[in-house]
Amino acid sequence: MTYKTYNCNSYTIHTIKTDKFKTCHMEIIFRKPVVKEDLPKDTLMVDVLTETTKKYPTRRALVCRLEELYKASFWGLATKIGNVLNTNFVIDFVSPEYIPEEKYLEDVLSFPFEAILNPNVINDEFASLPFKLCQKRTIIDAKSIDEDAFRLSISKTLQALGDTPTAYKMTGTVEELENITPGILYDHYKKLLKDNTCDIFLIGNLDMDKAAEIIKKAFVKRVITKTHLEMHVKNALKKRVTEKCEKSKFIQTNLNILYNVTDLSDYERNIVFNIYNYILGSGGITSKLYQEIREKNSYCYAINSMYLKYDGLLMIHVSLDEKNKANAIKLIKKVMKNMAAGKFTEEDIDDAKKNYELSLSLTLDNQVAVLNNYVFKVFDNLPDLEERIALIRKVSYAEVVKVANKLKMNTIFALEGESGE
Amino acid sequence: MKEIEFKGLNEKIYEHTTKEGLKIYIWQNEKAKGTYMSLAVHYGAIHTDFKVGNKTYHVPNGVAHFLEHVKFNMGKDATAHDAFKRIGGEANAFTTFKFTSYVVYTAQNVEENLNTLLDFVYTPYFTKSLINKEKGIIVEEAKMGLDDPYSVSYFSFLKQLFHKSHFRNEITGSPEEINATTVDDIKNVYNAFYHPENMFLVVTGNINPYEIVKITEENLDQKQFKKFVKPQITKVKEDKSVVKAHQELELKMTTPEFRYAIKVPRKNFKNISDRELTVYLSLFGQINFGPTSEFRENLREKELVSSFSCSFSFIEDYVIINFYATTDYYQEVEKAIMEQLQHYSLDKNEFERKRKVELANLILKFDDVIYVNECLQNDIISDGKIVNNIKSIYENLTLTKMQELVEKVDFNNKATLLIKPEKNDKA
Repeated sequence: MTYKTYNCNSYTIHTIKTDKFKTCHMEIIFRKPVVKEDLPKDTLMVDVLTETTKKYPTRRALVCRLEELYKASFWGLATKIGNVLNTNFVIDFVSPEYIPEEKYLEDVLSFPFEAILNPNVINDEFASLPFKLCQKRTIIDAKSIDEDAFRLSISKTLQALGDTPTAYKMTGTVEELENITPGILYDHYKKLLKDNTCDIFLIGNLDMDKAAEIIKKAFVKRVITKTHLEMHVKNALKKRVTEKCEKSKFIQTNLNILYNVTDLSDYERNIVFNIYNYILGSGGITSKLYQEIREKNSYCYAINSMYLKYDGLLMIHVSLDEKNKANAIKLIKKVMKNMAAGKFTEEDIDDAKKNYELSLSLTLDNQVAVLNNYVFKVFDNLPDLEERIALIRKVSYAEVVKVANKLKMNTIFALEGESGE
Repeated sequence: MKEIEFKGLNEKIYEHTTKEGLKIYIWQNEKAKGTYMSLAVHYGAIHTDFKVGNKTYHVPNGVAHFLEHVKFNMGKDATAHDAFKRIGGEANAFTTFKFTSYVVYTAQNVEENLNTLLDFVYTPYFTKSLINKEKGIIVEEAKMGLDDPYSVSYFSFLKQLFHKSHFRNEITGSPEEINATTVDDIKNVYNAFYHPENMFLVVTGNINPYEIVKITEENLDQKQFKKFVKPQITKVKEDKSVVKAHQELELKMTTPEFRYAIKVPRKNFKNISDRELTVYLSLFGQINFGPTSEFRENLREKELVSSFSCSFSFIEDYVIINFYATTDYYQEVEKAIMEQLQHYSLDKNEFERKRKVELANLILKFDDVIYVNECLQNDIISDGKIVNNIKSIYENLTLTKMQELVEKVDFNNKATLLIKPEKNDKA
């Protein structure tokens, strides 16, 4: 794989040339700090911009054009990564070596910029029909959290953190979404090119110099935005653990236990903590939590610990019968205590290293994962794959015990199920 | 070893059958880092009634899935997960209506991983206490399904379309059925179906096909297998009619959902393979109901739906044409579907454009080792063989044939289901 960067003043193009895949993938990433009240607009805006464009003013016309580009798929997504809001425009397309048309590369690479720069706007407002459809879809999405016990419980657990970007909802409330008009959203859109930094990532078997020239021609961003973006959220520690239960109409209880992960060095955050978490609960059926809660007590089908790296948090989630909740909490606390006391073996660490290394190696077969590694190297100085693998191999027992002692319980939240068996 | 060429796509699959009867399919991709292996058995959730020799068996719903869970036990305090963890392999398994598959994904120690896969699947270790321990786990898994309104809606609709078919039942079985499962049920199924002659191995990745065959043969050589007596699955005779033409349910949903399906006897379509029929029907669906159709644009302009899809499936001896919409106006959507079916379009330009795009995209099928592996498994289950003529199927499509096929569909043999959000839903 060959990496090359093109500095275009107001944005940077990062390329990875590889002949490993038969498709190519491009992401145009706009970034700015998270602003709570803007999130519903950010979410809706990216949907509206990828729904239709000035040149393709109906969904039918836009999808026909994508079919002409040999079924390229184009979509957008706004996501929160710690303190930073990313607005991504993504296109996947067949590698030009399989396509007879000479202009194909130019056409397909220019397509997303048509959507970003020439939106379907009439009299300073987004066109009414596509706007309304996207608004309705986003409202449905915002409401749908209430039908998903897992998502709902996670959201409610994070709310217990208080006023922090970690707790903000991407879609905001239904009322906030309903209050957005085509005019308000268009005003918000005008800030996209002004207030955001922009990076373009491209992977595929392409002549990257030629690709960069096409992008430069298609994308003129007039404002140079230089903002320092601190991704990591510092979620406050609590003197007293928040313990909260809410009744629900679901059958199972969804239990979440949230911990602050404090004072990690970059090495601990990027490397050691992953080894700790693998042993604890992200490593599947052989992990300590699985063994204790599922295998020994048959309380659940799955239990996972999720490392929210950019929020400085670890969340344990399990869905189970309400009657087993209290015992499960006791057992989870016991497992956490054992981990902090170093009650795991060198063999556990070796297995975790081996399997974490395996997961990293397997990402090389997925071009989106390869690209993501590069994205986080650029945005967060994440060591590249080979470096990370070398660092993983060096992790010691003492280092894992040290991070195991950097967790502090923050919240226990249970969305209680209606009935037992 | 046989080589199955994919004409026009410059790809091939190696096929070999061991002396024990295990069929092996291999796709070599020298650019891949990972190797994906699946060992699958022709036994799935619908096979609850069968006969071996003169003996008839009935097992509870969910036994295929239960067996998949407990199969990972290899002895007292020994599981396949522990073994894979030591050698660096990500092991998993899944159960479908028609088959069960045990999979391993790795980037190292291919030989050890393959041996471990064969060892654990062919090492029966079922005890009463392990079966009882697993019940709690599987009941919680089943409850996760019952808490998912989409899953509940899907199975409710299958129950509305089919009178007796086992496709009506959840793959996990119900909590009661899971609790009723015995160690004898598990053993009976294992002994009847888990034989190399009733199974197949698919390996995809940067591997040497001859090496894979050698490892497998050497491994199986060390195992004892009884003579295979092919179990006879008791076939359910499913009536042509739907159970109920229209049904309305209240579920923990926040947006109304509308399902519409047409039940067509497979025998109506003569002299055509399932694969060719699928290609024709999905192209018909794309032209008439896809995002580039006038039908969809009309629904959008009238703001009738938030989402819409059209798909096809083969269930028992029937082809099911499915429509799904999230909508507040289900009667208008139903009317629009019926009108479109009555006045369907077979536009030549649309047909040619879509065919050209599909042909260009066939090359992409052979890229990802997991995707290729899954496609090969599906080919074997659905078609009984590797479908290597997919390019020629697309090249030989004609509008006349599409018209002939569509004419065989009785659009009136249908069922509709409306899911309404529960009133006073606090969840």
